[in-house]
Amino acid sequence: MPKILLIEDDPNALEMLRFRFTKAGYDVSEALDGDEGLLKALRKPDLIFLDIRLPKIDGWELCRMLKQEPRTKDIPIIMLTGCSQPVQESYGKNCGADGYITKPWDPKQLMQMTKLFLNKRSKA
Amino acid sequence: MTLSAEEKLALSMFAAEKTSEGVLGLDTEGRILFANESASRMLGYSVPQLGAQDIFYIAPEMVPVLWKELWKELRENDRFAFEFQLQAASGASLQVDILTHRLTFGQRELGCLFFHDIEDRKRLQSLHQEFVTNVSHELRTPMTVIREGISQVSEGLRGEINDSQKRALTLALSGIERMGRMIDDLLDMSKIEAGKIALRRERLDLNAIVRDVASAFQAVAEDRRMDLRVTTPAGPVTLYADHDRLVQVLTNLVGNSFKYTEKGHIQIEIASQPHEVLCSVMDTGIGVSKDDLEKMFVKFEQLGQVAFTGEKGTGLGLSISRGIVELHKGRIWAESAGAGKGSRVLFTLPRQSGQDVFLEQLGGLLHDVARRGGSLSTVDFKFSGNGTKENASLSGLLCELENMVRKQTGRMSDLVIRDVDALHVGLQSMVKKEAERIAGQILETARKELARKLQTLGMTLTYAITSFPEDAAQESAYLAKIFTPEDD
Repeated sequence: MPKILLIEDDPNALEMLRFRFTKAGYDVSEALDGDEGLLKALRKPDLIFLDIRLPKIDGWELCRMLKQEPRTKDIPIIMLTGCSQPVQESYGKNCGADGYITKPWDPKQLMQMTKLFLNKRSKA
Repeated sequence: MTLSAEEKLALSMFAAEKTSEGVLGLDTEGRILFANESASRMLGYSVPQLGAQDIFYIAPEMVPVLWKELWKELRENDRFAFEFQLQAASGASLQVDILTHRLTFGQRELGCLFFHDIEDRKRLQSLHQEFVTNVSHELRTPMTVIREGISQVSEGLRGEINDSQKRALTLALSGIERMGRMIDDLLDMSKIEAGKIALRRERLDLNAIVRDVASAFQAVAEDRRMDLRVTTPAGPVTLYADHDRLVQVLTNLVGNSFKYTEKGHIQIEIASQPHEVLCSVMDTGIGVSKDDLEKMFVKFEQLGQVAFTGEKGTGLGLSISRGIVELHKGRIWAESAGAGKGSRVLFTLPRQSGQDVFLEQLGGLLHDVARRGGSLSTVDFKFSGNGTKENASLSGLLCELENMVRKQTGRMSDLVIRDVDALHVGLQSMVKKEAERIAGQILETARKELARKLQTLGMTLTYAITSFPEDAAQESAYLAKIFTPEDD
């Protein structure tokens, strides 16, 4: 069962995401802030959803750290955020993020992207 | 009752003394000959103290070159308005709007300078912008939960639902989607109004963009049984513009046409002229009365029309489009033969050379650097040889070179402009020696990696570096020097 790590500080959004991914058959773990996110990322999930405004370590910083760390650098990261401006999207990619989804997300897009990255990973 | 000449003079004097604008009278040397009470209050000097000074004392940034430029402008147009910084007696700097007029008494020329404080306006503007950004962001979080919750129930993930329930949820979802678009639009609008949209201008082909936008609408056109036509000149229409923002404008215009056209066709047209490109979107829709043509571009103005698609807009689309076109120094307007006779929205984009666009953008960067007393270098990579006319292989080479430059310079290269046969790069806080080293490395990599292509095309790659302040310490002199070949 593919493992997904959700790093998101809004408990309601987190519950919604957990429900959707669990229902779709994924093994979900979660973190409510950057520190916890970093620790759980070290347990090597197959895909990470990462919010940007997070307590302790923010999403940009955490993304950069995970992409520099040899143990986590190959895990795809999808940024999940309230900022929709194109500049921020390119900034997201500059810090190493693999994908970018704007809140409120389109459930179809969310699931398609999930499958896409998990497929790529299982092939690699 | 009329005023005698003497009374009139006294009244004028009184008005000049008491107005809330700061007023200074100056001679061509910059000496202060007159100062009013507001000037004295804002600057913190007494009127006699000001009278013993010159403009350079209270405006340290008014360097002699600028002063000369100002007079040149005044002699040509009699007036000049600009934003500037003055220095108060306390040492604090004062952000002001200045309006200068020239008046002459026979041979004698005087400058009359009005100014007022814009700190408050600036602070309000930035507060407003911050507020909108935060509100947008904060709205998205709860909206996310609402949307996802409704979607899960509607998809049946939370148990079976009947058709009537599903219908209610579908309507709720479309409301939420509209809210999302509104937040995006509000954010864009507030950025445009605060002057905070930074265009990422690059060399692009408008034809290609129009084709992309048209094909994105093809499904809608088929669905509505309407004809979407595209008329473009043969060959690429190259200009320097922000790709994403242009797509946004075109999508908005074509989307509007679909909304307000029941049947017939929609036509996108590009006409290339020597100094500008004219692009228009025309439809056979409900049209616009003459009085409403300008109103269309006003924020939140929706003219009370109902869209055939049932969609509701935000009333911001055309205002945003106008903002984007004007940032590109173009114009946008609407034409219509009247209600029921279709309408046409046209916009122009100036055709500039890559060098001009580069210099324009570099100007802003340079001004900051000069003010901070930092350094800056520009590197001009140039392909020369047999076929330096624009062609696909040459632009391919330029793209590869651009990637190498971005890779090598990282975030320092905020300014990279691709030209027909050259790549113009602006590097912040870089002295000549450092720029030489980096450019040298790039050149070496490029000559190695592109060796075969260069040979096939019979081309060589060279570069030239111009550094500020090493090569020219004055801003204008520096800009003038960049694309001028050295005589040696």
